[in-house]
Amino acid sequence: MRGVDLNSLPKVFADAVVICRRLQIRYLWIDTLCIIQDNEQDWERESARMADIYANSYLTIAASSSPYECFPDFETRADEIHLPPGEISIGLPSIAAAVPMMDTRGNPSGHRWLSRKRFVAFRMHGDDNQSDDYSSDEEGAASWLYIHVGWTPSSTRKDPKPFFIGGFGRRFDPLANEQLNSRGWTLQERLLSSRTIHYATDQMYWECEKTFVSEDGSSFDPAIFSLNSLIERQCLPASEHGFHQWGHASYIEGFSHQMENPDGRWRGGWLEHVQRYSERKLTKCHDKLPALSGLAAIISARTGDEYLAGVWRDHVMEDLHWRVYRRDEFRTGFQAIHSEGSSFVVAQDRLSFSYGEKVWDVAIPTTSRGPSWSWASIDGRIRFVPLDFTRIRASFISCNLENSSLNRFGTITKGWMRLLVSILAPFFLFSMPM
Amino acid sequence: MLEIHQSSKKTWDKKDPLGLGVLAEIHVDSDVSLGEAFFDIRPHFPCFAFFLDSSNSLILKRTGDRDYEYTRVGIAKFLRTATQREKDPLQSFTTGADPLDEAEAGVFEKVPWGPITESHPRTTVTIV
Repeated sequence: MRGVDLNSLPKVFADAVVICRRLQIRYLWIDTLCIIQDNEQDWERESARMADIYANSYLTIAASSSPYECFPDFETRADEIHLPPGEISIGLPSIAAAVPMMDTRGNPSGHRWLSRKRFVAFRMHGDDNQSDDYSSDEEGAASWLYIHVGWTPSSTRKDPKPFFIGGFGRRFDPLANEQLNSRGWTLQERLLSSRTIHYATDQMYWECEKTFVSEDGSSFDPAIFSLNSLIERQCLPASEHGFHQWGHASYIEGFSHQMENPDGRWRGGWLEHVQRYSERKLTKCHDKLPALSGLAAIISARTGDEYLAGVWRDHVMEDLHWRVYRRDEFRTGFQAIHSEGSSFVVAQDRLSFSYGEKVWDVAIPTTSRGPSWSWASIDGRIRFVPLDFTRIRASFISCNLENSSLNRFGTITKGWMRLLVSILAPFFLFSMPM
Repeated sequence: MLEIHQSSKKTWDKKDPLGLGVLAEIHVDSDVSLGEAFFDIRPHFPCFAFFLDSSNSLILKRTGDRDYEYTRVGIAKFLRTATQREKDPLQSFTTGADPLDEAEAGVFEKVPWGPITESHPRTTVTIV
């Protein structure tokens, strides 16, 4: 081959070539070009190497906003106001006057819930005439607030926009709603890449193990999508699993005030990633386990743990305890479940229960992808429910799996798991609409 | 093991914090434990609760092939029985103290969330 005419390439690929040239990077791997798409054998061989390619690449360029079209042209963006992600991350309704809850899909409700306050209340030291709620009772030295002229993001330099400074906020992935992140395969690609430039809808983002920052200077927790963080959380002791010690505080029989808001392997760990993964789309339905197999192989190699069709041997009880969510659920009166876990509200005189609108269909695929204990056996949004690890009543005995290919982290054709458990037969009374 | 039957709504006490999923009960030590079951696709009977901790269980059905083999159909959570609650009430119910204040002082709830204790026998099962 003597070369490829850039004009013959789709715009998104040509853009990637230009980016590589500017960064003086000589080699570029593009999945859809480097794997012969209609050749099943080539696809199987190369897709199995996909994890290695991403894990060993110097840089990953992600067309996060429009993976099939082109990289966004930021200089022509039409937004009247630049809303930095830090602003979107504000999660304290009492201060931000914003809609407090997001749906259980993890999607923000859109800009409509944002606070657009233009002023910030300050109380200067010794100013006793102020009586707002934001003041501090603590004595201390007065602070200075410096304001500089500047522009951000840099790509808007020619056409500056008003910029609202975001406050502190909840843990937030500004790329969660980008089109690329709705695809199944890209979850492990993002986790395995050592460094990534994301071309998102609003601006560029830099993400690596140490830094996750947007072009406008907003910074985010790099542990949200960090392979090292994920592996560290796989090594947490059992005492860190399930709901924490504070979760044992309770106002009501049978329910912890932290029941749905655990830390452990949720916060940047396997459970959180699988929950997100369950909402992603796969072109080929049977890719459910293969599209995560590269990540599973690396975790297994680095932790020594055994992978049992989406479930880890060392965390088997926690990983088995998942359920599907067709719609959001609310226990008004003491607990509201949402994307970030749950908000605790002290019990009132009565409790009421309600469902949100149906947001997800749940189905068992026509071709089996794995044993019934695995979340991979089902199409639908799943969530793991924390257990009380001070009172585990089951024990793992053994497991046997048969793979459909040489990839032992891929699709399982047959398998069984043996447990030692207490068994009781429930009587079902009546059902609420699900 | 017990067969599952449709039961009367009257046995459900609204004071219990249950109202989502399929309301269910199990008989533990001659008393009743109420719970919520969440089926993956749709309710399936008969089925059995396999407890992972004192309160939370997998809901499994027998496969057609072998008596000892089960397939997962959902999960369920059960509350303590009335006898268990009477014997060992929640701290906040007895002292009136705020559980979060207590937790801050290092005093945490010690009662289990569910009815299953170490005294309940366990058996080996196979899930496929």
